[in-house]
Amino acid sequence: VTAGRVTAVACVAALALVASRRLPAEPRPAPTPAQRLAAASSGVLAAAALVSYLLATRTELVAVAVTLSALYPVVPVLVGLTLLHERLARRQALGLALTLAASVLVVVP
Amino acid sequence: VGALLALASALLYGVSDVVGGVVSRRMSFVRVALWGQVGGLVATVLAAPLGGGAGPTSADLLWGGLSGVGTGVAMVALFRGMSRGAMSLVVPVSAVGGLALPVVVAALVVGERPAVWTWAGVLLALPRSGWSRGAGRGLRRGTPARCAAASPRASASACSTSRSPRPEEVRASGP
Repeated sequence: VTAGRVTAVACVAALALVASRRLPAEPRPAPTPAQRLAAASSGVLAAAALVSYLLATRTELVAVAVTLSALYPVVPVLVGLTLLHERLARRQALGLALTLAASVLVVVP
Repeated sequence: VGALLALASALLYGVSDVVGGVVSRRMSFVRVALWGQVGGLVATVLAAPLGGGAGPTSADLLWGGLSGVGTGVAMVALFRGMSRGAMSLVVPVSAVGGLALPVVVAALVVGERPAVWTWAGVLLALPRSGWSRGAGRGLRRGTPARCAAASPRASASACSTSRSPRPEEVRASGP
């Protein structure tokens, strides 16, 4: 369908909005080209994810596609806890568990 | 194939958030969001011909554009959260906000009646932003809560509302 083009328009709108919001001066040094590339690749990956999701909703039951694609926070949680060595206080770990449980409850068809 | 695509979508979203979060700690999160949207725009323009089918109606474009406004604000909020908080907390809080919001909107505006456990999940999600942020480990208070208020995925899913059945409708029509 036309989802790709619609999202392209959506991204232009987002771009304009983000551009207007970055006016306040940033104290940090200018980013290196590698950092810009990494930031852009984040957007490319998200766009690829959205296209996959929309294709999945066309070939699969929407409920199944929604449920499976809602697994995405698992990746940052695992990377954060293992590779980045993020430590959670007991209270925060409890909050994380309850947050994931709430996600499962909402998504279950 | 559809299930694999959905899983691939989850994996790509997850990696995208990790990359964006890591970069947000080294450069301004607003710039990360801006460059990310530029990259996403290029990718969607390249992918658009693959979609085929008829051109979008003006209503499609309106919804898509509206969704883009939400996405822009949400990505800035998400990267702000990850630039100073733990991504293992920020992303799930953002995700649960994005999942619960369509359910509440569908129930209040469209008049749908979600299942009991769906409401249980929404209720469970409400205080989570307060619990997760907690104290300590250098996490600034309040940031994850702000991310949850505007989740990028919630507005992204609005892109598909004009043509396909909405996820929340299907979800709410369960037994």
